[in-house]
Amino acid sequence: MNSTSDKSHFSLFDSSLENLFDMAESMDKEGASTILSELASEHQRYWISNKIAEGGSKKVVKVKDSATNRHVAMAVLKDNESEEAIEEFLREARLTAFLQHPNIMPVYDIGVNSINQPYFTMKLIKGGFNLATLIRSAHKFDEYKTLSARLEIFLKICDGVAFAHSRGIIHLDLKPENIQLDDFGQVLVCDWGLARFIKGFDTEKLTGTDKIHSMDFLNITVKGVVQGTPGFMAPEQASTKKTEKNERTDIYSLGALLYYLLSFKSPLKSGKISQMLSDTLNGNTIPLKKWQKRMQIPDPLIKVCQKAMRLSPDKRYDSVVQLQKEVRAYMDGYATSAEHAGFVTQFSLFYLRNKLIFNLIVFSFLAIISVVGVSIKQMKDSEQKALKSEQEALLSLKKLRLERIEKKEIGVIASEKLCSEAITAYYGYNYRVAYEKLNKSLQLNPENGRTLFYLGWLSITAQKFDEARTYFRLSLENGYSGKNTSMRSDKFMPVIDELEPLINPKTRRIDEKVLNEYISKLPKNKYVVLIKHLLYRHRNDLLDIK
Amino acid sequence: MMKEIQTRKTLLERVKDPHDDLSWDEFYNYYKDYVFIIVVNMGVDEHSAKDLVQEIFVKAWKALPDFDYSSSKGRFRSWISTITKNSVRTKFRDNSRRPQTDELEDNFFSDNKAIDEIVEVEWKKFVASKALENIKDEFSEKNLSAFIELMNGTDIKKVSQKYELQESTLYVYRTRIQKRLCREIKRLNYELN
Repeated sequence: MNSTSDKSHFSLFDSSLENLFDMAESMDKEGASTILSELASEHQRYWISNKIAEGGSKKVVKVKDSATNRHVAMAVLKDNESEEAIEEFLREARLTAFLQHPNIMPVYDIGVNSINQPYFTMKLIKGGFNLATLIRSAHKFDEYKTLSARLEIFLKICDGVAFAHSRGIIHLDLKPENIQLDDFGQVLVCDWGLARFIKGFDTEKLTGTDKIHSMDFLNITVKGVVQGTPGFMAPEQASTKKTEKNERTDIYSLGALLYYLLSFKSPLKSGKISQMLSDTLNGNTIPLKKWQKRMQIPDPLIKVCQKAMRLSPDKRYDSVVQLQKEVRAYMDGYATSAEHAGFVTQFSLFYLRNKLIFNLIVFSFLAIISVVGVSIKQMKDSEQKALKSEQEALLSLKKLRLERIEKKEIGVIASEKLCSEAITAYYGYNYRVAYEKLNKSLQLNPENGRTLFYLGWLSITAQKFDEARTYFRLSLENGYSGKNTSMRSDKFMPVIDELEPLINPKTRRIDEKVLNEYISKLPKNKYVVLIKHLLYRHRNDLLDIK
Repeated sequence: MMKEIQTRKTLLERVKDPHDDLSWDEFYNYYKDYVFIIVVNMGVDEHSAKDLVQEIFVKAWKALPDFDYSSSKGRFRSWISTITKNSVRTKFRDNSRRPQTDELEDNFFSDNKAIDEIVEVEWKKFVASKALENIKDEFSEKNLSAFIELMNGTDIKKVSQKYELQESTLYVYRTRIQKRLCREIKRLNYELN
């Protein structure tokens, strides 16, 4: 027998097992508050997971913050830098932390780690990318293909920068790589490493806590070196001469960013740094017009870009807010001041931004005209109709008369048809049906000889000889003479005369015996398969007919 | 978790029924290691210890129905350890011809406190290792091994290199396994004590 811990290939030291047991016991005492115990027991707050980016003097790594239980981005210095560099690094952290705005990268924490390395943590954008990668692969992002989507981004960048300016801070390194975005419309201005406090900024404008914080950045001396990124840096940054930088320096960079968003190109031809710097100094940028056709860049925005990127700072926009207003004006369909718009431009813009109302008015006008037109036409039409109807009334009167005549004819035809049906029924021994149809036929045409003839026949069958005589007589009078001699009405008269006396006065009927006797004496070839048929079959069916 | 345990009979309550063979098997399997460790710790050689454990369990089986189990903590543990202690003493007395046992008896059994400490410490180790045994299938071998190394005090950087796991990942697993293990320890301690 062996101990459990030896048997298992997982073997904990005895002391560790005891520790675990004690830990479980203490868990019992602390109750369910595991987050509290976690916070109390955890010594190392950040756990490095992987590197995100590296640039300049610092690198950014993704770390797990065990206290908040989320991933954040941590910036640390690359090497053991000089004290000056460490101060710069921490100053950037403080400055960024100072700028709390939805479009500026938020700083969560600043500190020094166990090996005396300074760090600061920032928001980690999940699935984030910077503006440069976005534009390089813009064809993959349908949502950024449209100009308005890209202008939205630009306006958000302006929001962030305008806020910083309001706190007396200029960024001085605005470029696509320093704009972080995500899939949900978040736009963050990052990397405030070159940011400076605006010289001569009226700190009185800042209130309370803002003022105290801003004091940290007051004593920063600008080094006599070129700092910034060619293409996006302002001419005053490209010179080694110490020149004053202010909000307009950022406005130049914003203009370059707008250029980039419109054309997907950097404003400068890439080449040697020295060449690019001199191009910047001389305002030797690629005219935006060059890309106008391919990228369908609207004229007003080209002018806005040009004004923002003027060589002389004084000729640029006074403030980011002004620049923003111009872009918004374009988006809302107003003329930008950079356009120096004439009446036609103004009017066409007026039309464009009020397109809906304009179209509505035109549409309503057309609608009214067409309604009036239609009703006039309708009035004329009804006048003509009245005339027409008079004529029609006369016509229909004529028709009515004709119809009456027709109706009579129809009666005759129907009567004939009913008679034929009655005959069919008669030969099928359906005497009652035949009788009814013949009566109807007679109603429709009292002069129908054929109907009268068959009614006569039927009367003989019913042994109503008087009626039979009348029908036959009427039939003859109406010109019915039958198709062959066997069908002539007068032919049956003698038969009627012979049969009538045979009626038994008591029963008012001819006895069966007497009838059979009479029929057997009749010459068969002459009459009368027919009479036989009449007298014998289903006679009783008809005897009740009145 | 605790509520669930309280509403059903613990292993000890079940094992008091002499006809419940399944519970007895479970009981034996759980406690034999603990008793064995105490016996060995008291100075019995491994070979005789095996037999002695059997004897102790026969005694326990006979005595269990009369054992007044109440939920007061550690009641059962002291009961089974008393049986164990007495059995070991008896064994040593039987073999008292051997001088080294006399020596042991003098040094060891006179010190009841020392034995109780062993009983206590061994209990902790016993429950914790049982718990680890119980939960090990819930985690990957790699993570568990890394966890054990961390618990044993190996530097996190070394563990990270050895298992090719990020430090942050290690931290996450350590917390997770630790939590699970503590829960199991609590459960077992309640169930077996």
